[in-house]
Amino acid sequence: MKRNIYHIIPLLLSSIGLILTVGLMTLGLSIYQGGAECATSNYVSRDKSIISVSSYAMADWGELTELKEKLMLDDDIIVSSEMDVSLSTDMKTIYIKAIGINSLYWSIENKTILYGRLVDEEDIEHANPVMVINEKAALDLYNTRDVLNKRVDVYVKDNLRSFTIIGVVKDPFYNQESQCFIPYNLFSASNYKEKFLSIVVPQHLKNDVKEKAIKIMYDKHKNNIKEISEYKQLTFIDNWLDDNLFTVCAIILIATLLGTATLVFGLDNYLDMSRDRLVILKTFGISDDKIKIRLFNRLCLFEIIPLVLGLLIGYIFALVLGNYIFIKPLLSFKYIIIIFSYEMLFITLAVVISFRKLKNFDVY
Amino acid sequence: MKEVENIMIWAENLNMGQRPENFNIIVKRNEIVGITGLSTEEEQELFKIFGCIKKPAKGRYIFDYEDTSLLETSRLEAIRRDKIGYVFNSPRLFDNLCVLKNVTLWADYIHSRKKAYKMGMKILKELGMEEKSHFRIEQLNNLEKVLVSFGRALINKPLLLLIDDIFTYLRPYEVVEVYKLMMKLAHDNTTIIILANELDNISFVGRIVNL
Repeated sequence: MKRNIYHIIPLLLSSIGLILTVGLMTLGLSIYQGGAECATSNYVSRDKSIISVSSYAMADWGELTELKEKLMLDDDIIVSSEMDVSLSTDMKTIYIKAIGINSLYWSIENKTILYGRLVDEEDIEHANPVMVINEKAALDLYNTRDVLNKRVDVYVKDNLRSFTIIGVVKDPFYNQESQCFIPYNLFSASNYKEKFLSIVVPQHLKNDVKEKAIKIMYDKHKNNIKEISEYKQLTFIDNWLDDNLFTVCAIILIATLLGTATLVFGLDNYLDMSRDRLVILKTFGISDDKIKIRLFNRLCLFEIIPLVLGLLIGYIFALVLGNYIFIKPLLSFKYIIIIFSYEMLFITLAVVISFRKLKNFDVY
Repeated sequence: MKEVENIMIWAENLNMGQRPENFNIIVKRNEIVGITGLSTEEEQELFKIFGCIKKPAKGRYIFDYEDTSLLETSRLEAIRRDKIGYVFNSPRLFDNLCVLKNVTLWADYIHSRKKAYKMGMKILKELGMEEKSHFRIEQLNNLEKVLVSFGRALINKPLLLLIDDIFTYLRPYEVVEVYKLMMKLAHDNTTIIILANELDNISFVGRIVNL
């Protein structure tokens, strides 16, 4: 038993690169999937998909009803439109991003409430002048997070309206922006700089409806309609990836190279330690291929340990990171298969490189 | 005609190391032949050629009517698997494996685990080691270790048993036991070639070739 452990230790040590790569892949994929599920959990469970388009030119909220009718939708269109406003209290004025929303918006944006409540359907229906702000805005305005029922004035293009703060939401760690959420219909569509319209459709109709929606918007406004990510929750990750794609690729590549190199080193050691046995096998007429297959199978079986370890470490890190960005990491069977295949690729590469020396093993 | 049918090995014009003269030998089936007078390197070279591990650089080596110099690697491997057993100059066993695992070491690769187990137990029974099948190698004495290495070589019932100078590894009274085993094997239709420095006191060896 002891001797077997001595055989295994060099292989375990040399699997550090493998553990690192599997960990990184688990972290990335579980956060991505967790984010997607989180943003669309209501819809995924009903086999529905969310598509989003954005338009600068839409001037009237009536177009939403028109669009809904033309697309023959059952569900309402989810609105999230952005504009820059100034927000004033008796003491202070700050510039802030105001997001005009309807109540369905919360089903695609995963927000944690710190105080109060979110904007609901009734607020939209009655166009109540209520506002939910994020904790950064609360701190900027009042130096405290508990700002319920305080009144603030919003200036939009020389129009002034008073709002009551009905809720405060927690910021994900990546959010450095002051934001407030208001019922979208309190201001006319032309006041908003960007208007994102998200449409919930059955999954199989996703592409058809998307094309149709873009065409309707284009025919109406004759300007470019922007398609945006299906999962708004993942906009942060998408943006981060856009900015850091090279770094991500470099990290994965370095981890892969490091992993392969260390594994090749470990395998070399393992072959040296097993030299006597391999020589006997070769002498008794066992072909190199048979020996390789047996060793490969054994190695695959053994490498389950680093795989599980990598998955665990990656998932734990994903849980920690997810806690900061409000995403509960998830890892589906599909992603586990992807990670497993990558590991197999890894092992095959190491085996092909290190097993070349098998040819030179001789009985004397 | 009957004479030709009984030939196991036909070696012609083999050249070992720096020797000026070529080497010829014919070994018949069930014969026990001792070859002496070789240097260590020459002994190793001959072991490889007779064992079909290596093709002769010069001359011809015909084993069981097949000219090994004309055979592909895969055929040589098949001959080694099916027809030849090897006993090295030290037992070359593995301490981390039990006796049975040492015996079935290579048979495990070509037969199912169950079949290899059966074959291993059968050969251990023949060697009188059945009860020690689960012993660790370090628990065995030198003679038992040598018997295990014979078991590993004989598991597939080879036509030829090639023995490198194992006697130096044993005490005189242990050598006698190995002799008895070899005599039994010769009766069981196994041809035996022994490569050794000295074979003076071995009565059962049919022919000693001193090179």
